[in-house]
Amino acid sequence: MLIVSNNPMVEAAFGDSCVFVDGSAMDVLISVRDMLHKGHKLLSHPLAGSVKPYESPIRSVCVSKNKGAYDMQSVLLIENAIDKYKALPQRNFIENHDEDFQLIDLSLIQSAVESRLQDRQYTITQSGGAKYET
Amino acid sequence: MKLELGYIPIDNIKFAERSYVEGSTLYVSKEELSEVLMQDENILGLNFAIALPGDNTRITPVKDVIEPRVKVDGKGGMFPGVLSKVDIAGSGRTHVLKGAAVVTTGKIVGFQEGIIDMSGPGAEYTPFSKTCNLVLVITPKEDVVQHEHEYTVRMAGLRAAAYLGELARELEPETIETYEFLPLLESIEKYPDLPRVGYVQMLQSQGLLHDTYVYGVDAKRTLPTLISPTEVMDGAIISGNCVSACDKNPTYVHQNNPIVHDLFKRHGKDLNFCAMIITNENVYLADKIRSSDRTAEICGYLKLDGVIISEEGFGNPDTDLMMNCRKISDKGIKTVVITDEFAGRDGSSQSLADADPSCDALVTGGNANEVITLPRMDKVIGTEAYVGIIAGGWDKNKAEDGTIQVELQAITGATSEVGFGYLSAR
Repeated sequence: MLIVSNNPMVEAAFGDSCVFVDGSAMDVLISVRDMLHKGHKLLSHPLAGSVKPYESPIRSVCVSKNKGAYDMQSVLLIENAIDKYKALPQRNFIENHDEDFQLIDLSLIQSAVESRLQDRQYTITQSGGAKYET
Repeated sequence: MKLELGYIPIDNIKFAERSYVEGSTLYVSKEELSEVLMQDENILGLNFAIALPGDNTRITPVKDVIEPRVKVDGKGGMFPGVLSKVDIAGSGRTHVLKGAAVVTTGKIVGFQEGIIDMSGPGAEYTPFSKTCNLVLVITPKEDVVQHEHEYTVRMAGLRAAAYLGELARELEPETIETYEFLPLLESIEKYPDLPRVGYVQMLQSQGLLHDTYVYGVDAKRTLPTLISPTEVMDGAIISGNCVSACDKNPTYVHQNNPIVHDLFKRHGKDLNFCAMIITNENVYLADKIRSSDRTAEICGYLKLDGVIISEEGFGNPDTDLMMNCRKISDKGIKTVVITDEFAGRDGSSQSLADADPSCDALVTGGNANEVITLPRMDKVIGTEAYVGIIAGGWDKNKAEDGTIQVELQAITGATSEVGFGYLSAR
């Protein structure tokens, strides 16, 4: 799984699994959209829950590491999310709360990662081991 | 399962040497209550304040609101699995200090959340301007991290409510309401001609500051399950949700969910309220699919005729709401969803982040982006320092005369998605 994020805390926590975007939350969504068009699959919902898009400058979204067939549902969700971001007014963020936004975002992504761990698809290999889909 | 709620009306709170109830006044000893709450070693400082209806008082930022109650007969204690040992709530008798509430306040993260005005225009929007509130202002020790801080504040609120509720144990209730929830087959046998109606309650379960607990279990780690509505009325669900003041369900609202109460009122008359299902709102897409699948399967298995679905919060949970609606509708069951709207300050933007053609009957709690002006208050419990940055406030929203402009979403309970509020088209 890859985490597309502009959150330094997520980058620090997930290292190579994080595709760090040096930009706005909107830039994160656009990077995700581009990846979905190349065949990655959306794994977490691109919108936050109950924290309004324009209130937080921080966003992280989980996508599959492997590329497969173009997933229409994923593309619809990300396009919807981008529309929602565009429709709402932008606000000047207050710098000293960046860390709090980062922490909340990290917590939400950790809950997605925990779900991913129990949800991984696997196949039994010839030697009897389990091969996990990435 | 049969639950009696015995109501002892409270219309005043005063501080006193010892804690007791006399007439309709709740007397609270700060010393005794401090002793109960200071067992949490994360608490550095503790202040109490009283906010009564009509006071020129603002409470902010509000975390949770809890109704003081005590279990006097039947299984379990208050908040089983959290405060008392694990047991099944929802039967026997519970006494309620009706009209009293415990409100917790304190900064957990920088942009939080929630205003209760006890008078003025803001009071019209929050149900907790009508309750007599004992407010806990909790300061944690410096090294307490945010998730421990949230836990400390949550538990302090529950402990204070249980402590106050205990004062009602030996009192004679003024009124007693009885709620009986029959086993499914008996209910169908009793009302063979009435439509079978279920209630699907969605619980916020996203992560830090966005959590709900069922008998102490984090709802994000649960599969949708059947629960007796009397269990929910009796403290089976508690809120750890500090996000989106206007449309989150504080513990008080779980204890007094109007959808449950109204379905009971109609039960046996024009409908048969025979199922309540709780489900979650997770971040991970496969969880959303899994939970909505399971919810729809339960509704189909019970052969319900109609289902009410209530959401908690907004944003990605709108997708859970639509998945639930579509999959339940696909079973041939009629649905009504209850949500609120984030339609922009002029109300012209799309209200929800997701939509589905099956969602053809929807009740709204109101537009949370609507802007209102709140006057300066003489007394502020907590701090106004965050009003500019709580969800729904914005920078430079405080005028020189002390009035503030906020969106409705900053006001606790303003656009409740279970109808525990005052906004109406009537």
